Amino acid sequence: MIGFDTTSQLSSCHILDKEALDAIHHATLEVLEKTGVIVESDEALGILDEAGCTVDHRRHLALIPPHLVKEALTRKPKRITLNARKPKNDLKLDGSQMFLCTDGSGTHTIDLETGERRSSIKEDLAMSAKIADHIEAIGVYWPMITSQDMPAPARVLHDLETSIANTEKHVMFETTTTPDEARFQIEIAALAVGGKEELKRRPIISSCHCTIAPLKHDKGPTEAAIEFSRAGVPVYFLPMPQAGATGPITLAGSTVVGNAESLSGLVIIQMAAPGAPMLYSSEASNFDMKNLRWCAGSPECGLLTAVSSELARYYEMPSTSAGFSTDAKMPGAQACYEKAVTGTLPVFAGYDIVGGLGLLDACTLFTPEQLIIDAEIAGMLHQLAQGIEVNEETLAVDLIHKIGPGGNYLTEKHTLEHMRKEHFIPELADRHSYEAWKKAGSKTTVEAARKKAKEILKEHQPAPLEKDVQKEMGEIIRKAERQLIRNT
Amino acid sequence: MPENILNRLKDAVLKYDVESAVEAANEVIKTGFDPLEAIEQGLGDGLRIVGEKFEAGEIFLPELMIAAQAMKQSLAILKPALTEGTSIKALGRVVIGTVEGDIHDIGKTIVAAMLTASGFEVYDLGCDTPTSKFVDTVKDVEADIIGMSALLTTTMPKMTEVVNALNKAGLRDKVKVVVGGAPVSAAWAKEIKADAYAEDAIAAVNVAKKLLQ
Ligand code: B12
Repeated sequence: MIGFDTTSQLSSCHILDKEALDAIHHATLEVLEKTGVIVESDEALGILDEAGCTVDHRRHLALIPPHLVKEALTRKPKRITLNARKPKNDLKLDGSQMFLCTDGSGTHTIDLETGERRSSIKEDLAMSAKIADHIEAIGVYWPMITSQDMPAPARVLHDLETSIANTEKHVMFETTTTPDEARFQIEIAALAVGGKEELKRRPIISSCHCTIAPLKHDKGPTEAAIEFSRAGVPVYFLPMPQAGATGPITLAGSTVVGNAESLSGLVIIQMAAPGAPMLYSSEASNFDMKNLRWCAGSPECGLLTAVSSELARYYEMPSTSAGFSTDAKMPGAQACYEKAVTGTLPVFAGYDIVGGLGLLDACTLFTPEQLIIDAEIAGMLHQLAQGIEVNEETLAVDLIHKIGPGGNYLTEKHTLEHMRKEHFIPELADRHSYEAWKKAGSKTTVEAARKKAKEILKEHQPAPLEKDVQKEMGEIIRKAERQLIRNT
Repeated sequence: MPENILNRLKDAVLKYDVESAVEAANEVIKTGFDPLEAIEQGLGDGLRIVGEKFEAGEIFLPELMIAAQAMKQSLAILKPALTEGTSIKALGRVVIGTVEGDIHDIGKTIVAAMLTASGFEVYDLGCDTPTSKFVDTVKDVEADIIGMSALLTTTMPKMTEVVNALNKAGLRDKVKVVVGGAPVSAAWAKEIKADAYAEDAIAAVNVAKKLLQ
């Protein structure tokens, strides 16, 4: 099982009621119509112009009327499936399950052997993919770090190829910044599934594109998103207003800015490729005025994240969210409490995909230990969100009569049937006696996780790609290297 | 009266009040008060205190930035009135920008604001800055320091390109190169033969001061 059942979810914690969501929606429509968005791409601007927006080509400004937003919302599919190299790992995003996703595109790692902090290389990426492939709770793999030992212009292709080769799960990524890169990535993914038509039917990749707060769509990433949409690859726009810096200081105001960026992105894509699969997302946070940092582990970040899932449901779109984020510089106490706090709301909010597993230092540092710990934190949170199921079977009155006062339930069939599902079973947390813990080497959680990571790397081998597919991928990358390097 | 106007300039900066600062600067011109004294003792004193408060964690970034704005707008009024030959004692001239292909500019803007507030004369080239623009500006303004920011691992090599271009233009030994941004490190600075790295805006000011000593 890779998905977490959310149908029985207690939660659906509500931060905003219908009235507040309506207010945010209307405020967003007003911003899109009166202030509009800057769209740096001439291609995207042309699409908006043709669709009926008021466009100022000189300023690259598009004013988007409410009826176009409505039209785009009816064109997009309500449910989508993210496929995987191994069909057993396909993910149906229909609101009944939550899937976990690794965090991605980090720049540094702490070496598993030497403990030294250094820039990430391709080998680290392959290692992170293998561990993620093994952890059952993880549904989506996002290339966790960048192959910085590869030539810069073709890095996104090395990252994708390494990811597809080392995990049989769906691969989602965020670093594509030009339509050329997108075309090569589509070629690579198509090779793994047997052609472009097949990729359209079974997209094993999806792509995230950042908007520039406030209210701007970058040229390259937007054109790349259009390219992916036409190939049937699911995309989403990721607004990141920082309350106080690139969004209003108030959380509601920053939500409006982020939502305006998401919805204008939706309009561009649905006008370019009607019915293209899309997700809704936001990574709004606050800006720390004292330390001048983007905050990844703050309570405001948690609140904004939860609100974004409510907006996704409001618009009937599959949703994905960051979560489990932290500003800590190494695995340990700060990382775990911040991740528990920032993971709680997204898990309770009922997202289809919750990301953020495995990176530290504001989404820039990968450590295998934290990836393993995060999967456990996520499992515990999910258990909390499930609440307690009450029905005839779970009340177990007949059984209570049968055992009577003074007996025990250990050898009952009822126990056997429910014991794996009713209780969360930690893999990492130590529940031994003090003496037993001491005898086993008085290990900290981080040490236990390190041991587990090493075991996984020794024992787990994802099914390799076929030899000729590997070879052809290599050729595409070399071709791309020649072309992309020439372009820079 | 002169005391009074100096205090008004200083207070305007300390109260983050751009309008009052501009008003006081206009009055300096009208009354024929020494513009140099107004800049160095009035505005300068105020900004120095604001900078200290910020470093001590007592005030927040918007306050620092608005104070710097008050300074900048008043300077624009006072500078033309300086007698020929006098120049304000800026700590140094800094050209700063985010490298080509990279649009992350929040960190760079903060560094620029902190440098301005600390008394540097700052030329902010914005983001996605072509290498040639860095080099041309360094030459045109006779910069003491060039600061480059990169937030993407794929745009970090642009810093090397700028360093090489400075070499080629014969400017490298006239200007100190400082680099920063989340994926950038001291090791990277060394690798590309930059003069220094700073991890945040406060460190950037200290590094800049040290480089010009
Ligand atoms: C906010 C953000 C954005 C915003 C930027 C808004 C803006 N106007 O700047 C948006 C959403 C637009 C964005 C876009 C993208 N982003 Co972005 N972004 C971030 C994020 C979350 C925070 C950056 C930030 O503002 N930090 C706050 C500031 C204050 O900190 P700072 O920049 O580090 O600056 C401080 C110091 O570094 C230092 N400093 C900075 N510059 C300088 C210069 C000098 C001279 C000195 C001395 C010091 C110094 O002082 C500053 C103040 O203390 C980072 C993650 C991270 N933690 O860094 C990702 C991140 C940098 N982005 C990333 C990516 C991939 C992108 C995109 C390519 C995504 C896409 N496909 O659309 C695009 C970029 C497109 C492009 N062409 O550049 C990746 C990079 C991955 C990689 N391996 O390179 C990161 C690491 C996130 C991740 N893990 O995936 N992003």
